[in-house]
Amino acid sequence: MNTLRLGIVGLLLLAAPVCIAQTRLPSSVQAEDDPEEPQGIQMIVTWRPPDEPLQVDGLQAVGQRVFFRKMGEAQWRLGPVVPLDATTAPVGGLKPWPWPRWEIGVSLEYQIPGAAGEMLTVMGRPSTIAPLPEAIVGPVRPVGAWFKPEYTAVLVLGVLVCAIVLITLYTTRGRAEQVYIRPIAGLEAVNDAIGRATEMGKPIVYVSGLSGIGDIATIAAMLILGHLSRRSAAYETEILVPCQDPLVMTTEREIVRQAYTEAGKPDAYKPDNIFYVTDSQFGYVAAVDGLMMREKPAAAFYMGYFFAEALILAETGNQTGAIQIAGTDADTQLPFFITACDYTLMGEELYAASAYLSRQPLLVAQLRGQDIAKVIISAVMIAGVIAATYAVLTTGAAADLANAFVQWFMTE
Amino acid sequence: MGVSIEIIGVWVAALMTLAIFSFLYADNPVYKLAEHLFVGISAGYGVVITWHEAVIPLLIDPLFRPENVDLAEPNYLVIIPGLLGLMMFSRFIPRYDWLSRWPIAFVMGLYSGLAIPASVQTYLLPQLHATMLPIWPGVEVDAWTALSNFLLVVGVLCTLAYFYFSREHAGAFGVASKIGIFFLMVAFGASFGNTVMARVSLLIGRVQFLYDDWWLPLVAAPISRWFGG
Repeated sequence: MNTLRLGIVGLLLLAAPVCIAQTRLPSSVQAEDDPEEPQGIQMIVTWRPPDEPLQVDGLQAVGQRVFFRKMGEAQWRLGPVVPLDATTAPVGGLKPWPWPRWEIGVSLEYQIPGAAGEMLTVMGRPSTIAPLPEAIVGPVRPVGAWFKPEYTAVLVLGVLVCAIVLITLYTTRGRAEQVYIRPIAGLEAVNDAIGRATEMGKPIVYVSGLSGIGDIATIAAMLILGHLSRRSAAYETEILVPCQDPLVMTTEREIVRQAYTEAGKPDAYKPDNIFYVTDSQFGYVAAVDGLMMREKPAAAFYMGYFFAEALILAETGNQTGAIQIAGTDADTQLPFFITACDYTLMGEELYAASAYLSRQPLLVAQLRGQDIAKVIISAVMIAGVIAATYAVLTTGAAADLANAFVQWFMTE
Repeated sequence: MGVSIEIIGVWVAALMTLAIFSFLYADNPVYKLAEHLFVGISAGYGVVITWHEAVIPLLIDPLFRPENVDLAEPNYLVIIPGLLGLMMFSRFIPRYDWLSRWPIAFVMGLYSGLAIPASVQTYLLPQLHATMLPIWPGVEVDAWTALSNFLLVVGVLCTLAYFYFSREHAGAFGVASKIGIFFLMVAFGASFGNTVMARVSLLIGRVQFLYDDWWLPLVAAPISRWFGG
């Protein structure tokens, strides 16, 4: 028994120098996916800091530096610098899906004493930047979340609205002509504007906003342009379309060419009337202003998304005496159009315009579907107001439940 | 006084500003000159920016100089958008100009799809949540806050009624719609005033530039020196 005890003590004594040996560099590096970061572009690195930082002649250890590189890469990338006693640090800026594998290393950060700002990184060996193998972990990879629970409301509402529109599309398209669409003054005036231009023998200027082709307002504006072109082609009234985006210009040329063909006047189509100006906001405005002052159009249309140029365009058009019809979903620019134009399509009226003008079953059914979605959203809103009111009037489990209902709609 | 590039720059900026302002009187040759310079330079500048900010870093570097964009090996996936971009040039060959419809369809489809969750997340849900407010005084809600919330809720619902298209705006629904228009116009009025203030600030900034950077040092001072002032 005594022999056994002596043996255990002996073993402990032998192990002691190993256990209490002071480390001089970071070691035992581990890395795992940051569970708080959903994209999978950040890892949390943990390690054992040095008990006594390695001394390098002429240099002073000022912290610990995390390095990382993609597997196969030769060069290390610089991660964060943390204090000498830190044991963990996040490494961000990694590549998202498909989440490549990485190597992560930790070493010491040195500074030349007195040379403020002049940093020198020494990865374990003063003469090289390569980290010591003991201070490297890898391959490791972060993993992104495929589903963010905090966006459940976005998914539910998005699917709900899409489903309503699609179901209405399916059930209404056969009887779209029976669907009532309330009169929209600005669209009633479109035909008057074309007629005025025809009578005066002057062109129509059509501006489809300053947003790109991916903007819903621009798409709505192009649909309206199609209708306008068909009508103006029938009367052989010239339509000038200065464009700020080359893709929009290309698409609008296709739309107008198609409209002229449908109107039976393919030879009257002039591609040069739909032209690119510049993508500079105020350069474009200067050109369109000049165009309007010189051409004196009978009608001017501003459809799409607008920024600060809205008032400048509408004011110039007003000076030329043109009948002006605007439509935008840019709420900050609507007041200017309302004051300077004869008619203004506000917000969703712009989206409804194509259905109103064309009466195409597909578009009318979409409009009907959006209306039904609005009713459901209004009902949800009223339920939320009742829940919020109930939550401030009472306490207890029911109030908590009401509060939870309201909070469910909160997104980042 | 030596003529430096900065002084020339200030003179050009000031004269171009005045040339553009001359449009307030009438369309004239000076405005036309400024307009054409503006359009031409900005179009050229746009081409250069597109080349350096889009074509090189997003297409050429990932393919041929991956180290410039922090890649270990070439990213051949960028060939797909590169080809879509090249298809746009088919516009110059009438026989194949139909090819340009593919990239346009791709972009329109992509952005239309992206717009749905983005609209729900950034417009619909935040506005829904912001409207779910208590409309009766209670815990931490005083009478004025409750009244303000009530007006907000009524305003939102009536405005939604205005944007309901597939039903005649008559009777009670018509009244709600008219109230909605009233709320809209009040909001637009406030927005109008706010933006006009911002525009006046921009004008003041431009006039300050003309006066402080151009008129005083580059016009008034030399004239004063000329007359021995």
